Amino acid sequence: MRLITRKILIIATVLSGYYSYSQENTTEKSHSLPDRVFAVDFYLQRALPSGDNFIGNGLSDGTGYGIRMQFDIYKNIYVGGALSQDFFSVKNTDVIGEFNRATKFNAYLFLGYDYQLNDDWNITADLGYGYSQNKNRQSTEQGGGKFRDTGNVFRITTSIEYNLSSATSIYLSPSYESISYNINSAPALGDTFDKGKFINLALGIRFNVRDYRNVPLKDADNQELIDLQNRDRDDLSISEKRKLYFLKKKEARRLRRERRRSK
Amino acid sequence: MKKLLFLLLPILLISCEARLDDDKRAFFKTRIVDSSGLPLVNASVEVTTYRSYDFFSINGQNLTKTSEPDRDFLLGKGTTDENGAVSFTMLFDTAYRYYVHIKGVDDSSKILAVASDSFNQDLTLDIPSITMTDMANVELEFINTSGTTTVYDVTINYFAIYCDELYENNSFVRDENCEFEDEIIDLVNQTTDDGLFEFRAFYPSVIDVNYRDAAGNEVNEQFTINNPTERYEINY
Repeated sequence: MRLITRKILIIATVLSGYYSYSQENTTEKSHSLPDRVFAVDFYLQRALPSGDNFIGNGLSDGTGYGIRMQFDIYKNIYVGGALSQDFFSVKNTDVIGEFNRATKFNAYLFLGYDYQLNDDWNITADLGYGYSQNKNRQSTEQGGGKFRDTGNVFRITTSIEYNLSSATSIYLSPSYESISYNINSAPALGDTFDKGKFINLALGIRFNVRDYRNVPLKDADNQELIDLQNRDRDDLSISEKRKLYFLKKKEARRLRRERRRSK
Repeated sequence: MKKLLFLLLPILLISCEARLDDDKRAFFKTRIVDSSGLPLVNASVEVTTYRSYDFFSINGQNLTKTSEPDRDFLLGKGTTDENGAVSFTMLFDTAYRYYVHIKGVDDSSKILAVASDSFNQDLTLDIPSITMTDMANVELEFINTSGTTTVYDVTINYFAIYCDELYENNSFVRDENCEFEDEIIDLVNQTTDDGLFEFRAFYPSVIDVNYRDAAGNEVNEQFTINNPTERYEINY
Protein backbone atom coordinates (compact mmCIF):
# COMPACT_ATOMS: atom_id res chain seq x y z
CA MET A 1 0.00 0.00 0.00
CA ARG A 2 2.77 2.40 0.97
CA LEU A 3 4.75 1.47 -2.11
CA ILE A 4 1.69 2.13 -4.26
CA THR A 5 1.20 5.56 -2.70
CA ARG A 6 4.82 6.40 -3.35
CA LYS A 7 4.57 5.27 -6.95
CA ILE A 8 1.38 7.25 -7.51
CA LEU A 9 3.03 10.40 -6.17
CA ILE A 10 6.07 9.95 -8.37
CA ILE A 11 3.97 9.22 -11.47
CA ALA A 12 1.70 12.19 -10.75
CA THR A 13 4.71 14.46 -10.42
CA VAL A 14 6.27 13.27 -13.67
CA LEU A 15 2.98 13.36 -15.59
CA SER A 16 2.02 16.80 -14.35
CA GLY A 17 5.41 18.12 -15.39
CA TYR A 18 5.19 16.47 -18.80
CA TYR A 19 1.61 17.62 -19.31
CA SER A 20 2.49 21.16 -18.34
CA TYR A 21 5.46 21.21 -20.68
CA SER A 22 3.40 19.83 -23.57
CA GLN A 23 0.63 22.38 -23.02
CA GLU A 24 3.09 25.21 -22.89
CA ASN A 25 4.58 24.23 -26.21
CA THR A 26 1.50 23.28 -28.21
CA THR A 27 -1.21 25.75 -27.29
CA GLU A 28 -1.54 29.40 -26.64
CA LYS A 29 -2.09 30.47 -23.11
CA SER A 30 -5.76 30.42 -22.26
CA HIS A 31 -5.41 32.71 -19.28
CA SER A 32 -4.88 36.40 -18.64
CA LEU A 33 -3.09 36.19 -15.29
CA PRO A 34 0.54 37.27 -15.62
CA ASP A 35 3.25 34.73 -14.84
CA ARG A 36 4.34 34.33 -11.27
CA VAL A 37 7.90 35.40 -10.51
CA PHE A 38 7.97 34.96 -6.75
CA ALA A 39 5.77 33.30 -4.16
CA VAL A 40 5.82 32.78 -0.46
CA ASP A 41 3.69 30.12 1.22
CA PHE A 42 2.48 29.52 4.73
CA TYR A 43 0.87 26.19 5.42
CA LEU A 44 -0.45 23.82 8.02
CA GLN A 45 -0.05 20.14 7.41
CA ARG A 46 -0.96 16.72 8.63
CA ALA A 47 2.05 14.42 8.57
CA LEU A 48 1.55 10.66 8.41
CA PRO A 49 4.60 8.54 9.32
CA SER A 50 4.77 5.52 7.05
CA GLY A 51 6.88 2.50 6.14
CA ASP A 52 8.21 -0.46 8.07
CA ASN A 53 10.80 1.49 10.03
CA PHE A 54 11.15 3.23 13.38
CA ILE A 55 9.24 6.26 12.09
CA GLY A 56 6.31 4.37 10.60
CA ASN A 57 6.00 1.96 13.51
CA GLY A 58 6.99 4.31 16.32
CA LEU A 59 5.35 7.69 15.75
CA SER A 60 1.69 8.72 15.71
CA ASP A 61 0.27 11.02 13.03
CA GLY A 62 1.54 14.53 13.55
CA THR A 63 0.64 18.12 12.80
CA GLY A 64 2.91 20.90 11.68
CA TYR A 65 3.47 24.11 9.81
CA GLY A 66 5.89 25.47 7.30
CA ILE A 67 7.02 28.30 5.09
CA ARG A 68 8.26 28.13 1.50
CA MET A 69 9.71 30.73 -0.83
CA GLN A 70 10.13 30.21 -4.56
CA PHE A 71 11.52 32.18 -7.47
CA ASP A 72 10.87 31.54 -11.14
CA ILE A 73 14.21 31.14 -12.83
CA TYR A 74 13.28 30.16 -16.37
CA LYS A 75 9.79 30.18 -17.85
CA ASN A 76 7.76 28.24 -15.29
CA ILE A 77 10.64 26.48 -13.62
CA TYR A 78 11.21 27.64 -10.09
CA VAL A 79 13.67 27.12 -7.27
CA GLY A 80 13.16 27.80 -3.63
CA GLY A 81 13.78 27.03 -0.02
CA ALA A 82 11.54 25.77 2.72
CA LEU A 83 11.42 25.36 6.47
CA SER A 84 8.95 23.18 8.30
CA GLN A 85 8.27 21.85 11.75
CA ASP A 86 6.01 18.93 12.68
CA PHE A 87 5.01 17.60 16.06
CA PHE A 88 4.55 13.92 16.84
CA SER A 89 3.84 11.78 19.86
CA VAL A 90 5.39 8.35 20.29
CA LYS A 91 3.02 5.41 19.92
CA ASN A 92 5.47 2.55 20.43
CA THR A 93 8.57 2.99 22.60
CA ASP A 94 9.56 -0.64 22.01
CA VAL A 95 10.37 0.28 18.41
CA ILE A 96 11.61 3.84 18.57
CA GLY A 97 13.14 4.12 22.05
CA GLU A 98 12.15 5.44 25.45
CA PHE A 99 10.84 8.98 24.77
CA ASN A 100 7.38 10.39 24.34
CA ARG A 101 7.43 13.14 21.72
CA ALA A 102 9.37 14.28 18.69
CA THR A 103 9.59 17.53 16.78
CA LYS A 104 10.71 17.17 13.18
CA PHE A 105 12.46 20.12 11.56
CA ASN A 106 13.20 20.23 7.83
CA ALA A 107 15.25 22.77 5.91
CA TYR A 108 15.57 22.05 2.20
CA LEU A 109 15.96 23.49 -1.28
CA PHE A 110 13.73 22.53 -4.17
CA LEU A 111 13.37 22.73 -7.93
CA GLY A 112 9.98 22.50 -9.58
CA TYR A 113 7.56 23.38 -12.33
CA ASP A 114 4.60 25.72 -12.10
CA TYR A 115 1.74 25.26 -14.54
CA GLN A 116 -1.23 27.61 -14.80
CA LEU A 117 -4.29 25.65 -15.88
CA ASN A 118 -6.44 28.78 -16.19
CA ASP A 119 -7.07 32.02 -14.33
CA ASP A 120 -8.34 30.11 -11.30
CA TRP A 121 -6.22 27.01 -11.03
CA ASN A 122 -2.50 26.22 -10.90
CA ILE A 123 -0.63 23.04 -10.29
CA THR A 124 2.97 22.76 -9.10
CA ALA A 125 5.38 19.93 -8.54
CA ASP A 126 8.87 20.05 -7.14
CA LEU A 127 11.70 17.89 -5.83
CA GLY A 128 13.56 18.95 -2.70
CA TYR A 129 16.64 17.89 -0.77
CA GLY A 130 18.00 19.11 2.53
CA TYR A 131 18.52 18.63 6.24
CA SER A 132 16.13 16.96 8.64
CA GLN A 133 16.25 16.67 12.39
CA ASN A 134 14.00 15.03 14.95
CA LYS A 135 14.33 16.60 18.36
CA ASN A 136 13.18 13.93 20.78
CA ARG A 137 12.10 14.52 24.37
CA GLN A 138 11.48 12.23 27.29
CA SER A 139 8.65 12.78 29.74
CA THR A 140 9.48 13.68 33.34
CA GLU A 141 8.86 10.04 34.29
CA GLN A 142 11.39 8.94 31.69
CA GLY A 143 14.03 11.32 33.04
CA GLY A 144 13.37 14.42 30.96
CA GLY A 145 16.24 13.82 28.55
CA LYS A 146 16.52 15.31 25.10
CA PHE A 147 18.42 14.15 22.04
CA ARG A 148 18.36 14.41 18.27
CA ASP A 149 18.07 12.10 15.30
CA THR A 150 19.47 13.81 12.23
CA GLY A 151 19.49 13.00 8.53
CA ASN A 152 18.86 14.17 4.99
CA VAL A 153 15.42 14.59 3.51
CA PHE A 154 14.37 13.95 -0.07
CA ARG A 155 10.96 15.44 -0.69
CA ILE A 156 8.43 15.36 -3.53
CA THR A 157 5.85 18.12 -3.21
CA THR A 158 2.83 18.68 -5.41
CA SER A 159 0.11 21.26 -5.07
CA ILE A 160 -3.16 22.25 -6.63
CA GLU A 161 -3.83 25.92 -6.17
CA TYR A 162 -6.90 28.14 -6.45
CA ASN A 163 -6.29 31.82 -7.12
CA LEU A 164 -8.33 34.08 -4.89
CA SER A 165 -6.77 37.09 -6.60
CA SER A 166 -3.69 37.73 -8.66
CA ALA A 167 -1.70 38.12 -5.46
CA THR A 168 -3.23 35.50 -3.21
CA SER A 169 -4.11 31.87 -3.62
CA ILE A 170 -4.89 28.88 -1.46
CA TYR A 171 -3.63 25.40 -2.14
CA LEU A 172 -3.80 21.78 -1.18
CA SER A 173 -0.45 20.05 -1.23
CA PRO A 174 0.20 16.31 -0.96
CA SER A 175 3.86 15.51 -0.46
CA TYR A 176 6.14 12.59 0.25
CA GLU A 177 9.33 12.63 2.30
CA SER A 178 12.03 10.02 2.57
CA ILE A 179 14.66 10.71 5.22
CA SER A 180 18.02 8.94 5.45
CA TYR A 181 19.02 9.10 9.10
CA ASN A 182 22.57 9.21 10.48
CA ILE A 183 21.64 6.98 13.43
CA ASN A 184 24.34 4.63 14.67
CA SER A 185 22.42 1.57 15.89
CA ALA A 186 23.28 -1.84 17.30
CA PRO A 187 23.47 -4.64 14.68
CA ALA A 188 20.60 -6.52 16.34
CA LEU A 189 18.26 -3.66 15.42
CA GLY A 190 18.80 -4.26 11.69
CA ASP A 191 18.04 -1.41 9.29
CA THR A 192 15.05 -0.13 11.28
CA PHE A 193 16.78 3.17 12.03
CA ASP A 194 18.21 3.80 8.56
CA LYS A 195 15.22 5.50 6.96
CA GLY A 196 11.97 7.22 7.80
CA LYS A 197 9.09 8.09 5.50
CA PHE A 198 6.26 10.57 5.74
CA ILE A 199 3.21 11.31 3.64
CA ASN A 200 1.98 14.85 4.21
CA LEU A 201 -1.15 16.75 3.27
CA ALA A 202 -0.86 20.51 3.59
CA LEU A 203 -3.36 23.34 3.30
CA GLY A 204 -1.76 26.69 2.71
CA ILE A 205 -1.98 30.24 1.54
CA ARG A 206 0.35 31.58 -1.16
CA PHE A 207 1.24 35.20 -1.77
CA ASN A 208 2.34 35.84 -5.34
CA VAL A 209 4.34 38.49 -7.12
CA ARG A 210 3.60 38.44 -10.85
CA ASP A 211 5.31 39.76 -13.91
CA TYR A 212 3.09 42.62 -15.13
CA ARG A 213 5.49 43.79 -17.79
CA ASN A 214 3.76 41.63 -20.39
CA VAL A 215 0.15 42.45 -19.52
CA PRO A 216 -1.71 43.22 -22.78
CA LEU A 217 -3.01 46.79 -22.88
CA LYS A 218 -5.15 46.70 -26.01
CA ASP A 219 -8.39 46.89 -24.09
CA ALA A 220 -7.14 49.29 -21.52
CA ASP A 221 -9.13 52.45 -21.13
CA ASN A 222 -6.64 53.90 -18.73
CA GLN A 223 -4.86 56.64 -20.64
CA GLU A 224 -2.26 57.18 -17.97
CA LEU A 225 -1.26 53.53 -18.09
CA ILE A 226 -0.95 53.64 -21.87
CA ASP A 227 1.14 56.80 -21.70
CA LEU A 228 3.52 55.32 -19.18
CA GLN A 229 3.71 52.10 -21.13
CA ASN A 230 4.62 53.92 -24.31
CA ARG A 231 7.46 55.84 -22.75
CA ASP A 232 11.00 54.50 -22.60
CA ARG A 233 11.31 52.63 -19.30
CA ASP A 234 14.72 54.09 -18.65
CA ASP A 235 13.23 57.58 -18.67
CA LEU A 236 10.68 56.78 -15.98
CA SER A 237 11.25 57.97 -12.44
CA ILE A 238 11.01 55.52 -9.57
CA SER A 239 7.56 56.78 -8.61
CA GLU A 240 6.42 56.43 -12.25
CA LYS A 241 7.74 52.89 -12.42
CA ARG A 242 5.91 52.10 -9.23
CA LYS A 243 2.75 53.67 -10.59
CA LEU A 244 3.10 51.65 -13.80
CA TYR A 245 3.44 48.45 -11.81
CA PHE A 246 0.27 49.04 -9.84
CA LEU A 247 -1.69 50.26 -12.86
CA LYS A 248 -0.73 47.08 -14.70
CA LYS A 249 -1.75 45.05 -11.73
CA LYS A 250 -5.07 46.84 -11.64
CA GLU A 251 -5.49 46.34 -15.37
CA ALA A 252 -4.74 42.66 -15.05
CA ARG A 253 -7.34 42.37 -12.33
CA ARG A 254 -9.88 44.13 -14.52
CA LEU A 255 -9.15 41.86 -17.46
CA ARG A 256 -9.47 38.83 -15.26
CA ARG A 257 -12.80 40.03 -13.90
CA GLU A 258 -14.09 40.61 -17.41
CA ARG A 259 -12.93 37.20 -18.47
CA ARG A 260 -14.81 35.61 -15.60
CA ARG A 261 -17.99 37.52 -16.44
CA SER A 262 -17.83 36.44 -20.05
CA LYS A 263 -17.70 32.75 -19.16
CA MET B 1 26.61 46.26 32.98
CA LYS B 2 29.59 44.90 31.09
CA LYS B 3 29.90 42.02 33.54
CA LEU B 4 26.21 41.28 33.17
CA LEU B 5 26.62 41.05 29.43
CA PHE B 6 29.59 38.73 29.85
CA LEU B 7 27.42 36.57 32.11
CA LEU B 8 24.49 36.51 29.72
CA LEU B 9 26.52 35.57 26.66
CA PRO B 10 27.67 32.11 27.81
CA ILE B 11 24.26 31.40 29.30
CA LEU B 12 22.71 32.05 25.90
CA LEU B 13 25.36 30.02 24.11
CA ILE B 14 25.36 27.00 26.40
CA SER B 15 22.38 24.72 26.12
CA CYS B 16 20.66 24.06 29.43
CA GLU B 17 19.13 20.83 28.24
CA ALA B 18 19.69 17.50 29.91
CA ARG B 19 21.18 15.63 27.00
CA LEU B 20 21.33 12.05 25.84
CA ASP B 21 23.59 11.05 22.94
CA ASP B 22 22.36 12.14 19.52
CA ASP B 23 21.94 9.69 16.64
CA LYS B 24 22.39 6.50 18.66
CA ARG B 25 20.30 3.43 19.48
CA ALA B 26 21.66 0.62 21.63
CA PHE B 27 20.39 -2.89 22.28
CA PHE B 28 20.07 -4.73 25.58
CA LYS B 29 19.75 -8.48 26.01
CA THR B 30 19.87 -10.81 29.03
CA ARG B 31 18.27 -13.76 30.77
CA ILE B 32 17.21 -13.57 34.40
CA VAL B 33 17.02 -16.50 36.79
CA ASP B 34 16.06 -16.65 40.44
CA SER B 35 18.39 -17.78 43.24
CA SER B 36 17.43 -21.41 42.45
CA GLY B 37 18.39 -21.05 38.79
CA LEU B 38 14.79 -21.03 37.49
CA PRO B 39 13.76 -18.43 34.88
CA LEU B 40 12.16 -15.30 36.30
CA VAL B 41 8.97 -14.84 34.26
CA ASN B 42 7.20 -11.48 33.66
CA ALA B 43 9.82 -9.53 35.55
CA SER B 44 10.08 -5.84 34.76
CA VAL B 45 13.53 -4.80 33.57
CA GLU B 46 14.70 -1.20 33.15
CA VAL B 47 18.08 0.21 32.19
CA THR B 48 18.88 3.67 33.48
CA THR B 49 21.87 5.91 33.76
CA TYR B 50 22.54 8.56 36.32
CA ARG B 51 21.49 12.00 35.19
CA SER B 52 24.36 14.06 36.46
CA TYR B 53 24.84 17.75 36.78
CA ASP B 54 26.87 19.48 34.14
CA PHE B 55 29.04 22.25 35.49
CA PHE B 56 30.55 25.22 33.81
CA SER B 57 32.53 28.07 35.21
CA ILE B 58 32.19 31.81 34.78
CA ASN B 59 34.64 34.16 36.43
CA GLY B 60 35.76 31.32 38.67
CA GLN B 61 32.23 30.63 39.87
CA ASN B 62 30.81 27.16 39.21
CA LEU B 63 27.28 27.07 37.86
CA THR B 64 25.17 24.03 37.04
CA LYS B 65 24.17 23.55 33.46
CA THR B 66 21.23 21.31 34.21
CA SER B 67 18.57 21.47 36.87
CA GLU B 68 18.44 19.06 39.78
CA PRO B 69 17.48 15.65 38.43
CA ASP B 70 14.08 14.27 39.44
CA ARG B 71 15.15 10.83 38.36
CA ASP B 72 17.69 9.07 36.23
CA PHE B 73 17.39 8.77 32.47
CA LEU B 74 15.34 5.74 31.50
CA LEU B 75 17.18 4.29 28.51
CA GLY B 76 14.97 1.29 27.85
CA LYS B 77 12.63 -1.23 29.43
CA GLY B 78 11.09 -4.62 28.84
CA THR B 79 9.51 -7.69 30.42
CA THR B 80 10.97 -11.18 30.64
CA ASP B 81 9.32 -14.03 28.71
CA GLU B 82 8.68 -17.62 29.89
CA ASN B 83 12.40 -18.38 29.61
CA GLY B 84 13.36 -15.34 31.65
CA ALA B 85 14.80 -13.71 28.52
CA VAL B 86 14.37 -10.05 27.72
CA SER B 87 15.72 -7.77 25.00
CA PHE B 88 14.88 -4.22 23.98
CA THR B 89 15.95 -1.12 22.10
CA MET B 90 17.74 1.46 24.22
CA LEU B 91 18.61 5.10 23.97
CA PHE B 92 22.25 5.75 24.72
CA ASP B 93 24.09 8.14 27.00
CA THR B 94 27.86 8.15 27.28
CA ALA B 95 28.20 7.55 31.00
CA TYR B 96 30.38 5.97 33.66
CA ARG B 97 27.77 3.52 34.90
CA TYR B 98 24.47 2.06 33.82
CA TYR B 99 21.96 0.37 36.09
CA VAL B 100 19.77 -2.62 35.34
CA HIS B 101 16.70 -2.56 37.61
CA ILE B 102 14.90 -5.88 37.89
CA LYS B 103 11.58 -6.28 39.64
CA GLY B 104 9.87 -9.67 39.80
CA VAL B 105 6.14 -10.26 40.12
CA ASP B 106 6.86 -11.63 43.61
CA ASP B 107 8.31 -8.21 44.58
CA SER B 108 11.84 -9.53 44.42
CA SER B 109 14.16 -6.87 43.12
CA LYS B 110 17.74 -6.26 42.18
CA ILE B 111 19.86 -3.45 40.83
CA LEU B 112 22.88 -4.44 38.78
CA ALA B 113 25.44 -1.77 37.98
CA VAL B 114 27.09 -2.08 34.59
CA ALA B 115 30.43 -0.55 33.71
CA SER B 116 30.54 1.47 30.51
CA ASP B 117 33.07 -0.90 28.93
CA SER B 118 30.47 -3.68 29.07
CA PHE B 119 28.85 -2.12 26.02
CA ASN B 120 30.47 -3.56 22.96
CA GLN B 121 31.78 -1.20 20.33
CA ASP B 122 28.56 -1.87 18.46
CA LEU B 123 26.28 -0.40 21.16
CA THR B 124 25.17 -3.82 22.39
CA LEU B 125 24.89 -4.75 26.06
CA ASP B 126 24.57 -8.51 26.22
CA ILE B 127 24.67 -10.02 29.73
CA PRO B 128 24.28 -13.79 29.30
CA SER B 129 22.55 -14.36 32.64
CA ILE B 130 21.63 -12.40 35.76
CA THR B 131 20.87 -14.26 38.99
CA MET B 132 18.43 -12.63 41.34
CA THR B 133 19.73 -12.24 44.86
CA ASP B 134 17.57 -12.39 47.97
CA MET B 135 18.27 -10.92 51.36
CA ALA B 136 19.44 -13.15 54.16
CA ASN B 137 19.65 -12.56 57.91
CA VAL B 138 23.07 -13.78 58.94
CA GLU B 139 24.43 -14.62 62.37
CA LEU B 140 28.15 -15.19 62.77
CA GLU B 141 29.34 -16.11 66.24
CA PHE B 142 32.85 -16.51 67.56
CA ILE B 143 32.82 -19.07 70.39
CA ASN B 144 35.72 -19.43 72.77
CA THR B 145 36.14 -23.21 73.18
CA SER B 146 39.85 -23.20 74.06
CA GLY B 147 39.63 -20.81 77.02
CA THR B 148 42.18 -18.47 75.48
CA THR B 149 42.42 -14.88 76.63
CA THR B 150 43.81 -13.68 73.29
CA VAL B 151 41.93 -10.76 71.77
CA TYR B 152 41.31 -11.19 68.07
CA ASP B 153 41.16 -8.48 65.47
CA VAL B 154 38.20 -9.47 63.25
CA THR B 155 37.28 -8.28 59.76
CA ILE B 156 34.08 -9.49 58.06
CA ASN B 157 33.57 -8.67 54.42
CA TYR B 158 30.19 -9.50 52.89
CA PHE B 159 27.77 -8.47 50.17
CA ALA B 160 25.79 -5.81 52.01
CA ILE B 161 22.25 -5.01 50.84
CA TYR B 162 23.08 -1.41 50.03
CA CYS B 163 25.85 -2.46 47.66
CA ASP B 164 25.44 -2.79 43.91
CA GLU B 165 26.64 -5.82 42.13
CA LEU B 166 28.78 -4.68 39.21
CA TYR B 167 29.02 -6.27 35.78
CA GLU B 168 32.44 -5.44 34.40
CA ASN B 169 34.68 -7.17 31.84
CA ASN B 170 32.06 -9.90 31.36
CA SER B 171 32.00 -10.90 35.02
CA PHE B 172 30.10 -10.01 38.15
CA VAL B 173 31.99 -8.30 40.95
CA ARG B 174 31.04 -6.31 43.98
CA ASP B 175 31.01 -2.57 43.43
CA GLU B 176 34.46 -1.39 44.47
CA ASN B 177 32.91 1.64 46.12
CA CYS B 178 31.33 -0.71 48.65
CA GLU B 179 34.34 -2.80 49.58
CA PHE B 180 35.43 -0.65 52.46
CA GLU B 181 32.01 0.37 53.63
CA ASP B 182 30.55 -3.09 54.08
CA GLU B 183 33.30 -4.48 56.25
CA ILE B 184 32.75 -5.14 59.91
CA ILE B 185 35.95 -4.48 61.85
CA ASP B 186 35.90 -5.28 65.54
CA LEU B 187 37.73 -6.93 68.44
CA VAL B 188 36.61 -10.28 69.81
CA ASN B 189 37.24 -11.82 73.23
CA GLN B 190 37.57 -8.55 75.08
CA THR B 191 34.47 -9.56 77.03
CA THR B 192 32.53 -12.81 77.25
CA ASP B 193 29.64 -11.67 75.03
CA ASP B 194 31.33 -9.76 72.21
CA GLY B 195 31.54 -12.65 69.71
CA LEU B 196 28.12 -12.36 68.00
CA PHE B 197 27.66 -10.44 64.73
CA GLU B 198 24.26 -10.04 63.08
CA PHE B 199 23.81 -8.45 59.67
CA ARG B 200 21.83 -8.65 56.44
CA ALA B 201 23.43 -9.69 53.17
CA PHE B 202 22.40 -10.73 49.71
CA TYR B 203 22.35 -14.39 48.84
CA PRO B 204 23.70 -16.34 47.10
CA SER B 205 26.95 -14.69 48.13
CA VAL B 206 30.13 -15.38 50.09
CA ILE B 207 31.28 -13.98 53.44
CA ASP B 208 35.01 -13.47 53.97
CA VAL B 209 36.10 -13.64 57.60
CA ASN B 210 39.58 -12.73 58.70
CA TYR B 211 40.75 -12.81 62.34
CA ARG B 212 44.20 -12.19 63.75
CA ASP B 213 45.69 -12.49 67.21
CA ALA B 214 48.11 -10.09 68.86
CA ALA B 215 51.09 -12.15 67.65
CA GLY B 216 49.99 -11.60 64.06
CA ASN B 217 48.77 -15.14 63.42
CA GLU B 218 46.02 -14.80 60.84
CA VAL B 219 43.12 -17.08 59.88
CA ASN B 220 40.88 -16.67 56.80
CA GLU B 221 37.55 -18.43 56.41
CA GLN B 222 34.78 -18.23 53.85
CA PHE B 223 31.08 -19.00 54.28
CA THR B 224 28.51 -19.26 51.52
CA ILE B 225 25.06 -17.77 52.12
CA ASN B 226 22.40 -19.84 50.39
CA ASN B 227 19.32 -19.40 52.57
CA PRO B 228 17.18 -16.57 53.95
CA THR B 229 18.59 -17.21 57.41
CA GLU B 230 22.06 -18.48 58.03
CA ARG B 231 24.08 -19.05 61.19
CA TYR B 232 27.80 -19.79 61.29
CA GLU B 233 30.04 -20.50 64.24
CA ILE B 234 33.78 -20.08 64.51
CA ASN B 235 35.44 -21.87 67.41
CA TYR B 236 38.71 -20.55 68.73
